[in-house]
Amino acid sequence: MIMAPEIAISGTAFLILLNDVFTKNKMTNYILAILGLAIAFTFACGFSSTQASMFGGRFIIDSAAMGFKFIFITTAFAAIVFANYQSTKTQFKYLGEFYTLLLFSLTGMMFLVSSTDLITLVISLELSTLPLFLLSAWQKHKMESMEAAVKYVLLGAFSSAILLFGVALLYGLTGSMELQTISAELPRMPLYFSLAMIFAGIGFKITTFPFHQWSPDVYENAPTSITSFLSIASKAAGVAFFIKIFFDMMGSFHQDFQTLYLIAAVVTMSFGNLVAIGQKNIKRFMAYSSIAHAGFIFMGLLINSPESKSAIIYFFIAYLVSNLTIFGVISFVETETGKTQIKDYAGLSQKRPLYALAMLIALFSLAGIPPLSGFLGKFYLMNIAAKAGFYWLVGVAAINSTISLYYYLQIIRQMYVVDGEENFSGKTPLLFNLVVIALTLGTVLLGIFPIKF
Amino acid sequence: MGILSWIVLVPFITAIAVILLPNKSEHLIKWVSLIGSGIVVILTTIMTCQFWTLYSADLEAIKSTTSTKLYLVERFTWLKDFNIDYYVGVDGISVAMIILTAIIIFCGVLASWNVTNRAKEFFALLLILVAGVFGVFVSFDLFVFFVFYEIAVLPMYLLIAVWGTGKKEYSAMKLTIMLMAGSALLLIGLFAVYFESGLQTFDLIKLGSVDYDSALQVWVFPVFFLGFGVLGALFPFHTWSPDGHASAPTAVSMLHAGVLMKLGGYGAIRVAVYLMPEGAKDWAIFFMVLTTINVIYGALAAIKQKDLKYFTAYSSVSHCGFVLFAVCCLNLLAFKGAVLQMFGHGVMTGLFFALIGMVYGRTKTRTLSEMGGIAKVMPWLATCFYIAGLASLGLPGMTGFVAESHIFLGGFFTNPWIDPTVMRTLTVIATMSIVVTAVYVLRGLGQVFLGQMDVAKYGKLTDATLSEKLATGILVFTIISVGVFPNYLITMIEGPLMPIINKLGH
Repeated sequence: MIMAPEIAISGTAFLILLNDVFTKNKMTNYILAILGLAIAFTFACGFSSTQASMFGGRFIIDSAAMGFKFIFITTAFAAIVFANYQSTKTQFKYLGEFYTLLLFSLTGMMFLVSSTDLITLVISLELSTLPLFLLSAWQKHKMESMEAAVKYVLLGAFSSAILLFGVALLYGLTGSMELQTISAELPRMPLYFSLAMIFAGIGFKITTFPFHQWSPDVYENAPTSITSFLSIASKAAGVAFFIKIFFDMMGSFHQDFQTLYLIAAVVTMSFGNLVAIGQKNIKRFMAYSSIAHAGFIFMGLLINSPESKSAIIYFFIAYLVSNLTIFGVISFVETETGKTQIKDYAGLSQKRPLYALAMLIALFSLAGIPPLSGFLGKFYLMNIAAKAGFYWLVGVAAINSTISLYYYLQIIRQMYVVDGEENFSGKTPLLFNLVVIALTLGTVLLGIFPIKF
Repeated sequence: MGILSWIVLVPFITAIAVILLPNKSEHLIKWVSLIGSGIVVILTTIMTCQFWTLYSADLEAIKSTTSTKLYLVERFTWLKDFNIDYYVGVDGISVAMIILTAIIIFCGVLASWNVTNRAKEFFALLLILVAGVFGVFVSFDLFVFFVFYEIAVLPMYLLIAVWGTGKKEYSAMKLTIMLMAGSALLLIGLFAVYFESGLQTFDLIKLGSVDYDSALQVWVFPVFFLGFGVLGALFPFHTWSPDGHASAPTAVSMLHAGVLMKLGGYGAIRVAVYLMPEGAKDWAIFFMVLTTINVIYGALAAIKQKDLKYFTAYSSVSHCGFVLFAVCCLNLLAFKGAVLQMFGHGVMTGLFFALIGMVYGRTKTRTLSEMGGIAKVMPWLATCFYIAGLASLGLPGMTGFVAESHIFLGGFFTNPWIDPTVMRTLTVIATMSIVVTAVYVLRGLGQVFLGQMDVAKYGKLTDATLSEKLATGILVFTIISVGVFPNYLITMIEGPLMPIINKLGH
């Protein structure tokens, strides 16, 4: 029953919705969500190296798809733990609906990586995006939050429309929704035109330049758990969609778009890095860091091979553990002090040394310092670029990593070098601590013992 | 697990042990660190004896091969899809460098006996740094080499920014970013040799057996040399060094100037020249000019300095310039000089910075003109300072002379690939730096230790404590013993240098 994880997740979502109506104790929603995700993860483990299909080939799983699914489930799990922690100390209403929407979004992403035709792909993409529009607007009392959400909805709708137009063109030109059938018709110029539109539409999700404009505002003003979910799962879903169309469907004609990927890689990386230098708000800072990492991913897309897919999935796993650790510490500081400026982290190393250490390790991992997993992720991607013969791109990526070290060090400086007045003395729930510890250990260990899909 | 992995692991385990100790027990923290460094020294001694037994048996055979013979090798598969193995071993050069590092870390911990502010994190970071340095000196798989190289650089930021003095945050950031930019360059070179060798491996010995295309060597050699040169304070990428050394706390300066900067020279010989001999021949003149500027400029700048730490930092720039200058000379004599200078200067500068830390801790000032005549109250420290100073200007009987004589003779004997006139002119210019060194050493030390003493300010100062005497004593002993009896060291490094020379000769 290869659809077991998806059934578990959507089932849990509905269960939480019902439970929320009938019970008074809101903790039960949290427990249901955690258990549901744990069960889904266990089911997924059972399929991690199978290759199978259902419904006459419309729902497939292979190792790449399972890799993405693990990434999605883990991110959702962490996001729910962070959300629950934040709700214990701050205003966070309607938690039941919050979990439900998050799980629906997750379901959409899970179906996306298993789709084989355009309709399922598009519907899954929409299913994964629409709840996120609502979730990012959860903090109704903040004006900036509403503004960011409106920007997200408008730009998201616009990009979806362009994407759909591209998909419609593909169908119109080839008469089929099946990816296999369409790939047999390549290379035809009008098809490339529709593929370009799809690139623009999906660039929104992956936050490539110049389709990244929504992300700084939304990342800054959404609840931290949603920001973490967006920065990892949403991006990974976009990349999975991208891989389905531009890798699997285009096959060997993938090379025709290589210049586009090169430009996307260089511009996105450099833009994200350079603008991140001046940031004062840590969540906005993470948005730009996230944009820079999206640029790195394009390095891995230069060659169409199972090795590239493997490299991209490992990069996301490394990115997942590092990013979630950072967001965990961010949600801790935000819940304790209500502040999200970088200067509010001053003195963290003296008051909560373990959290500061976790943040330090995760930041170094994102900067690409060996032997952490972030370095290995970037190394795998650089390997693909070097294999394609683009040594200069490896150079650009390496220089960008060095530049990124500068701004990551600024945060480390605040935590370790500068003295602060904040006390950071609150208690944190056990599961939250365990998740942060597990993620930190993952950042270190995955760099030495990588998991490959 | 062989002894080499233990040498890398012990500092790391000690660092973890220190982290687990409670914050307040500074005494315990220092003793644990000292015992850890002591164990490293003992392991190094055992390793050197094992190495020497194996090596002296092989001596004649090594001299006529082109592939480096490694001893005490350990090899485990790590990342199979890239053929990356955890591949460690030693040859003579590595052993010399490991001995240097072991001595410096032991004396460094002794010299840091007064650190009280956040002592736990200080010693932990110091030990992690040293583990990285040991790792670089034993790795023969370029990926593992790179990993340890980064581990060796990274703790510097926190060590300088938290425990440093003066412009510490600026210096820390400048140092970290410049050194990381250097390693970014290295990464490009690494990928280039990985793919272009046709072997898809990072194994240094296997990579060395390939004859690379000239067109490739022309751009990969400078990439490698610059990448390592940034760490070796190659002009004009040396600018991180004066600020970095001056702002860093004592043990960090000792480790950094004494050992880390030698990673640059070590990498230049081990990777850049070994893998890319044709590229080395093409670029030798260019880099030789730069390193000559290094030597002279460093010395001239040192004369102008008013601050004792900046004075030593520029002196380090000048002396590390010698190492890279010798690497560019591309003959056996000069290479031997390079490794001898790496070892000798490492100990000398370690001694210098340790002493500066001790003097600064007492006089609370680093300005040369404010001190004077303090030899009256600190005879031990003054004597050690003079020994270090005379060693650095190349007085016979100490390591400085052995190294510099090799380098200058090597420069003069020239090589078959560079225009001899140019090479000899540059060598003569570099040799003149000895005079400049004499000026700044004697003048600087004279200003501090001789002459009139301000009794009110400095009359009450004490001489070295027991731990300080031990630290400086060990370093002085090393300087003089290697200076008087360098033969073991020279024999140890001559063997592994032959394959590199033979490769150049092809």
